Amino acid sequence: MRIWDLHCHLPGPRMTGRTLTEQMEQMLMIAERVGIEKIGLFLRTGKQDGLGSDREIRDALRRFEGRVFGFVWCLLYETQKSIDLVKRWVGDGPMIGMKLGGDSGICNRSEYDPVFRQAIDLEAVIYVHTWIKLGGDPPRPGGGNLPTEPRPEHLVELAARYPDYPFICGHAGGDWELGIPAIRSSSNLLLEVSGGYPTAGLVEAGARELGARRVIFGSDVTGRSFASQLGKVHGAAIPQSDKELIFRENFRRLLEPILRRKGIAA
Amino acid sequence: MSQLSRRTFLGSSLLTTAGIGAFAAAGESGVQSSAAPATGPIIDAHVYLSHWPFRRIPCDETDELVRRLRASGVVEAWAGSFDGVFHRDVAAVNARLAEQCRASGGFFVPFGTVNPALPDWEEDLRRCHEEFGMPGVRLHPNYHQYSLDLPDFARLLRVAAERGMIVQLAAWMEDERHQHPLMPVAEVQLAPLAEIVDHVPGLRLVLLNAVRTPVTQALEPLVKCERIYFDLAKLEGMDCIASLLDLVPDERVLFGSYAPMFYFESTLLKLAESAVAGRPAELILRENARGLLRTAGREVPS
Repeated sequence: MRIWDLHCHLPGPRMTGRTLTEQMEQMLMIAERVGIEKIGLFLRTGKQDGLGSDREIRDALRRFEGRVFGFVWCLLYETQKSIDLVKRWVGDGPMIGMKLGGDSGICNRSEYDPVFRQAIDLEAVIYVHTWIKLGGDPPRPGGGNLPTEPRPEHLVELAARYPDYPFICGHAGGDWELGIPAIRSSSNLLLEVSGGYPTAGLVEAGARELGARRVIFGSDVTGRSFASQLGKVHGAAIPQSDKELIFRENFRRLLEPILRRKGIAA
Repeated sequence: MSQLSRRTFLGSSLLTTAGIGAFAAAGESGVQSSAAPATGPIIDAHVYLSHWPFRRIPCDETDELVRRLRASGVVEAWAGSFDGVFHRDVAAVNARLAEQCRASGGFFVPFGTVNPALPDWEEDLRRCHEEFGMPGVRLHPNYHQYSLDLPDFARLLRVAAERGMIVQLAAWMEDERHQHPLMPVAEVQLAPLAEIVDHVPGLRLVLLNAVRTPVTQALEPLVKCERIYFDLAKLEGMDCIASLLDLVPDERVLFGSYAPMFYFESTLLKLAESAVAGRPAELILRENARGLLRTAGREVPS
């Protein structure tokens, strides 16, 4: 089975490589052990020197072009800066997508639309971290979220404004029993299964409720293990053809427009 | 032993091939099943029978779970009961668990529930040992709402050790961020454990779901205590078993999958990801479990 992993992070705390290129090499070697061919890499830019500097990012992505796909990490409340980052790293640089994390801001706010319009103009793959965290008193789902951390329903609102463009709902909303139905009726949202523990039933529920074409594999290494996340799909009671969609085809389909635009073979 | 010599890297790793190849065969229904991996027999020290109260889990019927685990190379699985986490009629839970395990032809080995915060827990422990022939018990301090400084907890450990029983302690059952709002339960605080275990001669304690990321500061006191063992189910981070083995001797790591709550394949593939092979793999996959069973006076599967 061919596997592409949408969601990896570097630099990593236990990596021994001295440069980002060395760490990428190390990560790819470990990924290969469990059958992963290509990876998406979420990268924070702006560092002038040392490990993970902008120069290192360019060098490493050039070295592994077609095998490692860079996503630029944006903070929506730094709206103009985010637009510039997308232009610089996706439009004019080596990256193919935009990553929004738990620290990136609530994505449905209309003042952030120019960032999304820029990313969509460039045909960038758009990944949005979502989570529904239990918290508060009394405890309620979402009550434990960070102020900047979107829930799936925020992404649903955003996606409704761009109905013809795909968005990735990261981490299956964290609490996938709530996340999956939250995005069910938004046909341009894909469910990414990374980041949580490998609780059995997640992938089956995603495939059942959304269809396997809307479920996409990511691991969230180095914080998570490739293995624990791969097991979610390998171990799911779904047809082989669905696993192929989830492991590779859906990500490949999202990448096609921007790779074609950039002339990158994958 | 150096870390490099503990592990055999890609190319010579049996598990690398096995871990990936384990998923190659599709069943008649078109739904993929796990073929037997070339890992040799596996003793899974951490599975549950019965039902999780907040959702149905794939393979949460005993027959289904047996088929699934056998297909993945498991020859024996140490089973607790989800009922034991939530029910207060512990005696009935343990009787059912013993019967389910007996009906599995010995594939499941019962680890009964004992709750030292309930009345007459000593009798529950006695029945687990004498009537049901269980080699050990499984504790859930957080769900049973006691901390490890409860005097009866230490007493339970002593009585179990005197009987030669293995004690498993489940430190965590599910992500606190996703629990049902009616029932948030925090992880067990393990800090007092090392000192308590030091005062219980002969105890063999297996910590389940106790390690997410191997961190020296948290693990060191527990690792110093040579009669504490660790499983793999909750372990996370890239190359995570290699990281664990930097801190914990491979003689004290057990293959525990936490099936059916977790996908079994998630734990199996961790060995491939960390290219664990040879003697360390044998220890983790079965030999350490066999050694524990022998201390409990049990026959061990070949």
